[in-house]
Amino acid sequence: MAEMLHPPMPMSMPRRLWTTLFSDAGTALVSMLILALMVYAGVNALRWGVFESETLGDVTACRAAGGACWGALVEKGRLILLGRYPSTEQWRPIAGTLILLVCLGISALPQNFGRRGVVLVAFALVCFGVLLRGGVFGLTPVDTDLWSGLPLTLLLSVVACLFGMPIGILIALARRSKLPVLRWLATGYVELVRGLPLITLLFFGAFVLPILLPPAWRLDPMLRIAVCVVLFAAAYQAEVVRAGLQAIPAGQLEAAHALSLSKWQTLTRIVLPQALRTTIPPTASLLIGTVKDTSLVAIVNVYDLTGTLRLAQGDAQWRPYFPEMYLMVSAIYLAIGLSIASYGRYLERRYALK
Amino acid sequence: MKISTMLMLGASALCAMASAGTAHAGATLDAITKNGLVTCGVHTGNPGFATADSAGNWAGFDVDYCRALAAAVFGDASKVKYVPTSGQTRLTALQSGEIDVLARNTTWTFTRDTSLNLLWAGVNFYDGQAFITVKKPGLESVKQLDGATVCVDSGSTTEKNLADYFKARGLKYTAVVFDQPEASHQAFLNGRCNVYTNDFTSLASFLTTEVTDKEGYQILPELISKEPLGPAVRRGDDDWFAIARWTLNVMIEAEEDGVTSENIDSLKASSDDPAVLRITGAGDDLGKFLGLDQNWSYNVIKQVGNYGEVFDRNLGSKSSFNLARGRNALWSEGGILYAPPLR
Amino acid sequence: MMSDVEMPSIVGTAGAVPAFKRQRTAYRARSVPLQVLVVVLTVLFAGWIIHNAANNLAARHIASGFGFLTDAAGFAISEGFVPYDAQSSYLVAFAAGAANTLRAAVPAIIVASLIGLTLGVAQISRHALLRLIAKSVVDLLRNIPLLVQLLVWYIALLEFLPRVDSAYSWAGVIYLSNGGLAFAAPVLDGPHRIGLVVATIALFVGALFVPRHRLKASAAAAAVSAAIWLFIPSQWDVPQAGFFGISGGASISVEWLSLVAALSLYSGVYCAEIVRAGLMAVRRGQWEAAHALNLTRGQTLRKIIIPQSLRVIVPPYTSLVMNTLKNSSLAVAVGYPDIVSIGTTSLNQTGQAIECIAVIAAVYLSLNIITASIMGVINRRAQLRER
Repeated sequence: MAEMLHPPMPMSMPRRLWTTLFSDAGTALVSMLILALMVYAGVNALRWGVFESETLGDVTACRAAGGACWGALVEKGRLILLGRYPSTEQWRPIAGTLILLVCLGISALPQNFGRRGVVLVAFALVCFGVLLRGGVFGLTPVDTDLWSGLPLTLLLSVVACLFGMPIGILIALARRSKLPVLRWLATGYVELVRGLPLITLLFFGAFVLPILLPPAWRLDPMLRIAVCVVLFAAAYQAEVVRAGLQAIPAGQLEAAHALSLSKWQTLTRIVLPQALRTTIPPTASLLIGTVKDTSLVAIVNVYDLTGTLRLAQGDAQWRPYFPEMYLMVSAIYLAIGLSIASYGRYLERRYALK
Repeated sequence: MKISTMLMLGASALCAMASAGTAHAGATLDAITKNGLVTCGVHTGNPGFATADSAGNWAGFDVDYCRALAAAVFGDASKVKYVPTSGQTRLTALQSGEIDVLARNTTWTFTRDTSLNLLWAGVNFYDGQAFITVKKPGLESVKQLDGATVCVDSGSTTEKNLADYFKARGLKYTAVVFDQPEASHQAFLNGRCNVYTNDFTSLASFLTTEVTDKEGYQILPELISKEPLGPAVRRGDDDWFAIARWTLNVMIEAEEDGVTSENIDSLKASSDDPAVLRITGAGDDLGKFLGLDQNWSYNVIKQVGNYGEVFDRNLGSKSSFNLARGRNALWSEGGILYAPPLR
Repeated sequence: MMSDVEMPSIVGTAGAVPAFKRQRTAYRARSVPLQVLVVVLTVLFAGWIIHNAANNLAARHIASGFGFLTDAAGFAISEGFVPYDAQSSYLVAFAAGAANTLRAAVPAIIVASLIGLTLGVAQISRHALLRLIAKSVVDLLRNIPLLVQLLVWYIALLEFLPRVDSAYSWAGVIYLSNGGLAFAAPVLDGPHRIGLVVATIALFVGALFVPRHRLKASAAAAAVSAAIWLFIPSQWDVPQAGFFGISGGASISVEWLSLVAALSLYSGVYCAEIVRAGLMAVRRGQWEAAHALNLTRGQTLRKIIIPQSLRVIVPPYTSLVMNTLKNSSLAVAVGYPDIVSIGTTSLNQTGQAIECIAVIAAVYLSLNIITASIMGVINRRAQLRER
C-alpha cells in the first residue's frame, strides 16, 4: 500500500511500450499476434508497392511486373486530377487551385477571421472562376462542363461551406425565432432536406429545377448542381448551429438585455460567438462530410475527382490497375479530411474556455 | 405602410420575372444568332459518333452534323458549343432549351416525337439493337440466350426492346442496368453479364476501341429492333427545324450528286448540272427560303463534307471501325438513304 | 454615456410600464405584419414556381399527375422480393424499388452495428496495438467518400472473384462468382412458406420476452429456426452450372454484395465512434465499482458499462440508421435496382420528373418516420428509469 502514496516514476518510452504490450500472458499473446499480422501485411505491401512495382507508363511493362503499376498514375494521373479540362490550358486549373488553397490557408489563421478572411476567400473564388472560365484577359473560354477533377471537388466544397454556413445560421435563427411562421418554414425546410438523400436533391437539380424556373433563365447545369450542394449543406449546418444556440444559457440574453444591447448586438456579440465556439467539433466533421458528399455529383455526370476516377476506369487497357488509381484518390480525400479534422482540433483548443 | 410598400414591390418583381419567361415562336433561331453559336447536345463519349480529345476538341459522326449546322447558319463550322449529355439527360436538355439541337444517336420513336414535344430532322443513321457475347461453341443466335444475364444502359429504348423481345419469345433473362455506358462495359468485360445489348454501331465501336481480346467476342447476327437515329429539335421554331432538316438532306443530296469538299470549288466554277450548281451556291438561291446566305450549302459541303465523306471519316473505311455502309448506303447503291430533292 | 441615458428607462418608475414590457408590446405589434409578409412572399414564390412549371410542362407536352403509375413499366428489374415483370405497372416497380432499398439497408445496418460494437470496444481496449488498429481503420474509412468505397468494392469483386463459368463451388450447393452468390433454396408452396416465416418470427419475438436471458434465447431461436428451414422442406432447388453460368437456386447479386459491404463498413466506423463515445460517457467510478465486485473486464462491459451507455448511444444511433437508409441510394452507381435507380429509370421512360422525384422523396420520408418511431420506442426503453 505504501507505494501508492508516491507518484509513480515516469517510465522511459521503450519500457512503457514493453509494459503496455506484454504486461501479462494474455496481452502478450494478443500483441504478438497483431505484430505478426502487421509485419506480414507490411512486408507484402512493400513488395507490392515498392520492390515489384513498375513506374513506367507502359501497359506491357506493367503486365510483366508482379506488383503495383504506378505507371498507371503516370498515364492517368492528369485525367484523374484535372479531368476533361483542355490539356493545352491545364496551367489554369492548377493556378486556380493553388490560389484557392493558399487563400484558404491564410484565411484559416485566427488573426484573419471575420471580414478579412471572407474577402480573401471571395477573392480567391473570383480568381478561380476567371482563370477557369476564361473569356477575359485573352484567355480562351472554357465551358463549365469541362471543369473537372480535383479543382472541381475543391470548388464545390468551398462554395458549399462558404454559402452553406451563413444560410445555415440564418435558418437556425429562424428556427428559434419567436415568430411561428418563420419557425415553421425553417423547421419544414431542415426536416425535408435532412430526410432526403443528397442524390435525390441532385436529381432534383438536374431534372426538376429547369421545369420550375422560367425557360429563359437557362441556368448553367454546374450552377444548378452547386445550388443543390449548398442548400443541402445549409440544412445540416442549421442543425449544428441550432444545437450551439440551445447551449447558451438564458442568463446571457438577460444580461445582454440588462446592458441594453440591441437585438443585433446581442446576436453578433453575445450569442453567435459563444454558439459557434461550441459548434467547432461538429462543424469540422460537417465540413469533412461536405467534401465527401461532393463526390456524389459524379452520379449526375459532373466529373469531380470521383467522376474523373470513373472516367479513367473507362480505359479497358488500364482497368486492371484500378487499386493504384483508387489509392491515389483515396489518399487525396484522406489528406483533406485529416487536415480539416486537425484544424478543427486546433481551433477547439485555441477557443477552449480557460 | 412600409410593409405594404415592400409587399407590393415584391409582388411586382415576381410578376415581372414570371412574364420574362414566356417564349415565342422562332425563339431558338433568334437565340442562336444572338449568341453566335449553335448549342449542340452530343454524347459524353461514344467513339465514332462523338468524342473529345484531351485538348477538348470534338470529333465524330454526330459532331460533324453539329458543325454542318454551324456552317449553314454562320458560314463557320467551328461556331458550335458542345454540351455532353447522358442517356438520361439528353431529352430533358433539349426540352428545357439547354441545347438547340440533339445530335446524340437518338432513336426516333412515336412517343418521343409526339408526347415529348420534339421533332426529328430526319434519319442520319439506320441502326438496330444487337447483342455482343463471349464466343462460345454453338452460340449463334439471340434465340439461344434463354437464362442469360444481360447488361443494359439505363434511359434508352434498348431496355424496353429487350423486355419486349424476350417476353414475346418466352425467354428468361436477368437484366443488370447501369446509369453510365462505361459501367456496363466494365461489368460486361469482367464477365458479370453473358451479354451486352446496345445499338449495333455502339457495340461495334465498343468492340473496336475497348475490347483487347477481339477474337474472343462476337456480335450476334440478329437485330431485334429498328433504330433510326437522327438529330432532333424542340417544337415551336419551324425555321430552325427547316434548317436542321435541310442541312441533313443537303449532305445526302451532295453525295448523290458527287459533290465533295474536294471538288466543290471546281464544280462551282465549271459544272453545267443545275442540281450541282444549287448545292454549290452558284445556281438558284435556296438560302433565302431558310433565311440563310446563298452559300449555306456550299459552306456545309466545303467545311464538313457530304454524307459519304463524313461516314467514311468517322465510321467507315477511313476510320478504325471500318463499318460497311450497309443500309446506310444511298438508295441508288442498295441502301435506304434517300433525301427529298433539293429544288 | 449610453448607459446613463438608458438607465432610467430600464429601472422604470413606479406606475409606468416597465421598458422591457413596452418593448415586448412593440415587438408583438411589429411581428404580425412581418409574419404576414413572410407568408405572402412564400405564397407568391410558390405561385411563381407553379406558374413556371405549368408553362414549361405545357410547352414540353409533358403529362402531369400520377396517372402513369398504373401504366405498364416495360423495363426489367434484376432482383428483389416483390413479384415483378416488365408488364407490371410503375406502382409495382416503385414498390419493388422501395423493397430493394430495405433489402440492402437493413442487413447493412445489422452488420454495421456489429462492426461498430467491435471497433468501439476495441478502441477502449487495454491492448495498445488493438486500439491503434481500430483507430486507424476508423480514421481511414471515415475520410474516404462512400461512393469511392462502393466503387472499389464493386470493381474488386468483379475483378477478383472468378467468372461464372469457373465459380467457386462448395459441395455443389453454394456457388460464388463475380455474378454473385447462388445457393440452394427450399422449394415450398405458398402456405408452407408463410407457415415457416410466421414460425420463425414467432420464435424470435418469443425470445425477446424471455426475462434476463434474452441474448441466449435469441441464439436458441436462431438455431431452431435454422434447423426448421434446413430440415422441414422436402425438396430443394439446387443451383446448377448451365450454359450461361449458374441457374436455379436462390441468388444474391454481386451488386447487392458490394453495396451491403460498403455500407456496412462505412456506417460501421461511424457506429464505432458512437459506441466509443457512449462507453466513455459512463463514469469511471462504475468501472472501479465493478472491479471492486471482482467482475471480469468482459462482465463489466456486458453487465455494467454497455447497458448504461445505451442511453447515450441510442439517439445518435437513430440518425446513423437513417443515414444508412439514405446512403443506400448510392446503389444507382453499381446498378442495384433500389428506389432511386427505379425512380430515375421511370423518369427517363415517362419524362415526368416532378412526379418521379416526388415518389422517391415520399419513400425516404416515410422510411424516416418509421425509423424514428421504432427507435423512439427503443430510446424510451434505454432511458434511465429513476425510481
